[in-house]
Amino acid sequence: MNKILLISLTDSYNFTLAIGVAAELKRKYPDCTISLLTSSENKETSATTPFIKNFHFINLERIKFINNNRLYSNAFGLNHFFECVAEIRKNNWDCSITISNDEVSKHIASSMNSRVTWGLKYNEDKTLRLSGAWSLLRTDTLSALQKSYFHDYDILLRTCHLSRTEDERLLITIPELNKRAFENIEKLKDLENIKGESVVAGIKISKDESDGYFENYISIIEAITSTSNIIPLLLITPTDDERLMANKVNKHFSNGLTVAQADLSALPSILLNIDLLITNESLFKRIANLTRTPVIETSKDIPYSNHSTQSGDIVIVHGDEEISGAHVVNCINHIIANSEMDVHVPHTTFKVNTDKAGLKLEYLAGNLNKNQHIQYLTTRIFIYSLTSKTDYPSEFKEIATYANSLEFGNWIKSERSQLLRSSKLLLAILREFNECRKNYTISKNFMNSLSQILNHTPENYISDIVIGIFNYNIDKIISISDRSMAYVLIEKLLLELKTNIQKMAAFLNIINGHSHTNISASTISERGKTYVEAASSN
Amino acid sequence: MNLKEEEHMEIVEQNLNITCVQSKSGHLVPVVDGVELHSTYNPIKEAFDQALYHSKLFDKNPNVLILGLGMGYHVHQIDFKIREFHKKYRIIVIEPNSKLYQMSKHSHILPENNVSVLHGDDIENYYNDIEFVDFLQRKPCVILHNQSFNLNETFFRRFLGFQKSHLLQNIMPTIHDNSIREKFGPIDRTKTLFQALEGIQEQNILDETDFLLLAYKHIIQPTESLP
Repeated sequence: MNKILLISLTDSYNFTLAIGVAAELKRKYPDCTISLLTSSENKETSATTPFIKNFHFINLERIKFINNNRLYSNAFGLNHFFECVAEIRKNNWDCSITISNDEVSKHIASSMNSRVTWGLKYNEDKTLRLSGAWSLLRTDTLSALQKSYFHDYDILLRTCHLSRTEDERLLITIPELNKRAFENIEKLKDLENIKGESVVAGIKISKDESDGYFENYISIIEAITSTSNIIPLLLITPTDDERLMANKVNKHFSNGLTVAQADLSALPSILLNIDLLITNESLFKRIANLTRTPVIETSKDIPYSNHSTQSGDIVIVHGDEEISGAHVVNCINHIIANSEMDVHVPHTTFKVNTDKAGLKLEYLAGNLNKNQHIQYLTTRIFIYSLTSKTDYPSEFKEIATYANSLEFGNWIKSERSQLLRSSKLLLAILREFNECRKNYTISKNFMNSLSQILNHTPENYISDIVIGIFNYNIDKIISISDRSMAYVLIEKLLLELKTNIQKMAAFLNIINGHSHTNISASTISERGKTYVEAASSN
Repeated sequence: MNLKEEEHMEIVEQNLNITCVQSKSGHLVPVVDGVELHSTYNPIKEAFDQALYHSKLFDKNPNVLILGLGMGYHVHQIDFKIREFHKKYRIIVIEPNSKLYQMSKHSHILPENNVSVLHGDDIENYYNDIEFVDFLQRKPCVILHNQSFNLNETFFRRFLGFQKSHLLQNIMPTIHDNSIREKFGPIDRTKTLFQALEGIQEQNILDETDFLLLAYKHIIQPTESLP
């Protein structure tokens, strides 16, 4: 694997995922050369990535601007675009990887001369080409579900047959900026005159004035400033909106707070010199992950698929309520000093952890929607078992804690009921299919029974996943003109659906195996191993 | 900036009677179809006064678009005056009559730095120059050289009211990439670029260039994916 092309053309958050992928690729293939095609808005951050040798930028905003402007010839946008991709077109790539799942990236990937493509691209006949089960999860199959249970980063790494490591910092910093950041923060500590060990907590100020962000900043900073050892440091990028917001916040504290302004190339230097970052912005938490700076992430909803990617980070889900500053301080102490977390706190709080299935939100404190959490825990393990086929995460500990709850019982019932419905649909299809095969036709009855599954609306059951996978694949086969080939493929898919439904049933049985007795983690782990053997032999 | 060296004359221009007279102050003044393009007494003083008058337009704007060249005396004076306000500035002159441009160039009146003259009567050609359009996006102040403007009013009004054409026939001359030119070659030139891209999307089999064109389509109109 010598020449690898990464394509990431959406937001800066996906760009930071590309950095992580590049690091893992370099670890696995030390001699490879990695190139990245990305939006020109990522130029600043590109200065801090050591793993990517060649950057190719497309100014997407300029192309859109040219196209919408009444004076610029449309040819200009076309010329600019083709000039940007000219260099990468010339190359023969060993591998190209679509990081972001947008149509522009997929089409560009489809045009590249590449031995292998990981992720999504189109075949010349316009059908979508998957590069394995994990890339299927990046299509509409799972995004149609209300909540996606796998982290984007895990899906991306698995699509590229990579594993995640957490031991190194993945961004380089400019020594001059490091020195300046270090000196400034030392000055800040001296000014605060704290006896003993001080903690500098960076608070990323967003420009967003809506939905109570200002009140949240005040609440957090008031709580921090009432401690004896935590120093708040406001962080902004050099934009007018963020400056205005920072000034507004600072005014509330009689301009006694320190504000650090840094663009994306200088931000890593600051992050290296503070103790943790508090933020609600995906991009900044991701950059902090890359510099291994602990993060307290604040979010209105539970960020199942795009939370922080670093073990030990904390996620506070506050909904529409004002964030409790006291709780944030507790979280800071928990991260820095490993102090106990009171479970009776105003906001649902999670800790980022990992298991064999990947990144995971582990319940830490506050009210928990058990239904949702059980769904989350079980679904991600089931998905992992469907796609990995070899190993099975034995981290059932957390599920075991809910096993005797009412919510768990209700969940099992509803999943089984949905599974039964899916099984009945499948039986009807199989019956009709057998008839079709006898007569070598695709009958109306078969299509009618198939349409019931094809028109299935996902409602967040685990069986929605297996049906989604089936629907995705069957769609491509129905219109094949070679009838005998179509039958073979349809039969294969139906068998796969049947197997997956059986796996689901087995999975539910294992999980529910001893609901009338206390389920211990070891019991479920044992059962999990048995399940592996059963599933593998399928 | 692309300075057009070749003369591009339309029939009307070929029929124009262009001569030169000497002003009382000893300076050359072009006369086009009997119309003197500068003062026949003292064109330098006239140009000085014009620059002074217009300085309120460019004192805060370092980008100036002058419509009409004449012999260039006013251009020279504006270039001189604008330095009082800006260290960095840009002046572009539009002149439909290429012969006048040649006359002015040979008289060495025009400043060399920071001033460009675009000449020719094909308006589309001006807007096919991306640097020129970028300049227009900076919202330059517009100064009319009255005599030139009145002489070529139709041209200048069309110039100021220009809107780009979406048709392939107008876009093709400025497309650089050969693979795109080959791709669009057989397509009906009265179609728009977007219609051509939609046609590509409807093809059964796509090649490398097709995929890139569809990628471009999704940048400018990010709506649907391939069925």
